Amino acid sequence: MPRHNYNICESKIFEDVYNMYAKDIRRFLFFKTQDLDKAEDILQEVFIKLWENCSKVDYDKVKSYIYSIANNMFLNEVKHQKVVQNYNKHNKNESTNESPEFIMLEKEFLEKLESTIATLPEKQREVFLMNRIEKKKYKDIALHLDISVKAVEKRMHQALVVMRKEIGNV
Amino acid sequence: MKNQNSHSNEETFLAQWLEGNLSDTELKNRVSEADYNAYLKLRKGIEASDQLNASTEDSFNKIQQKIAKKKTRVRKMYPVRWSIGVAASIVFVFGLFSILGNNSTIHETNFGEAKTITLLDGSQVTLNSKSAITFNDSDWKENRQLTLDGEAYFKVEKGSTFTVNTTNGSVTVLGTQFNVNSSNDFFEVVCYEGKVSVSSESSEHILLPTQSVRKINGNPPESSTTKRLEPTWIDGESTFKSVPIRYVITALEDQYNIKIDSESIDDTTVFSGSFPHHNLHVALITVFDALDMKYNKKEKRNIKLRY
Repeated sequence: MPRHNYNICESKIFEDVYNMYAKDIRRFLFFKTQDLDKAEDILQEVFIKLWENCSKVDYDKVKSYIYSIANNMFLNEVKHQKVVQNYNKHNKNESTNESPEFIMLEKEFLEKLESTIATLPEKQREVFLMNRIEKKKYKDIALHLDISVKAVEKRMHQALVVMRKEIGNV
Repeated sequence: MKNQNSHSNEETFLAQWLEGNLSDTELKNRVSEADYNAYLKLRKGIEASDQLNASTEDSFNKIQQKIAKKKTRVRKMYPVRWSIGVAASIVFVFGLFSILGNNSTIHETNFGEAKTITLLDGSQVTLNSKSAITFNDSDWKENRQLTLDGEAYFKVEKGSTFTVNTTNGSVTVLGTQFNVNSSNDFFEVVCYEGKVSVSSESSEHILLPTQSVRKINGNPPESSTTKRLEPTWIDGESTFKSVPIRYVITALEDQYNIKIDSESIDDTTVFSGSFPHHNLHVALITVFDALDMKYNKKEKRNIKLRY
């Protein structure tokens, strides 16, 4: 492992570290919290903490540092939630905030899903990504690819059928 | 018709559903339960995946904003703490000097207290509430100098120059009667007899009997005259003439040992009038009723002003 002498207190280095790990940390936190807003919040807190302690953190150890901070902050959040839930139990007589249709997204499931998207037949993948990543409506995709809206919808439908088959029973 | 056709189309209904054109219940009716659950989870997975792969730039901007906010808060503290440290050391060193080096005497008054002190040369000083004078005993005859914080009325015996130092300026006389009020950024000198010389950083004034000079908050000094022979507070009444209310509030606080919260009023409102020193109730009515300000009458020590 090469030793770096980078100082995280330099805003450029700090930003590099952020760009390197932010998505991974957000993902890590999402699987723990199952809540994207919470993951975003904790992500921000993690990097604020990193900035506050920038002089104490070795560049080579920054990855394990931010992961352990993220984990600790998640645990604190859980503790806090328990207090809130207890409070609600005592005050509202057995009402839960979670909807009965709550769907848990496991890391493995999402990885499988993403690899399936990556290996979709080209025509389906193209339409799927335009719709999801570029947020294009079917009509716009049709215009862009010079095909009928119906054709776009067929490809999209097909893509979902393939994914359904790939992920198996859930 | 067309819409219904597209909904019922076997080859596109999943696309319709994902786009929100087909409801979950409609989907449920078309596929098996296992498929239905799988598709719900798929949709959630797809949405999560979209969001997890989206740019983290927004969050970075928020982080920077939060850091900037914290930074200003943290940075502000340090110079203050640092300067408090320095100030404390200066006070300490000077304190040591005055204790060890000189025989300085301090007279001070507490809330609502007034006190008359006769100095070594027969001169008299009457201190208003929450005021203090400091002077040097050992060479008083040659060096008639004292330091005042607050308000005091002086009757000076004839003799060598008599100097009153305050943080706002100094007053020099030969033999006379005068009143000095120096609290924070308020500085007022009234001459009742003889001749008084007032010098502050920015100006010099010679006062003749009944004349006064006043400086508020670094504004240019204002001169005025009085008809009285001595200050009213000697008789248990504080009098103000066109003074911003916040100085009156300070005087009330010092007199009655109370806290007045003036956050919700305009504390630059000008007040003319007086309040007695022996009755808080009357004092509050005379001052604040005149200005149409209200306060909670139940709270004795903490009084909150409002309109």
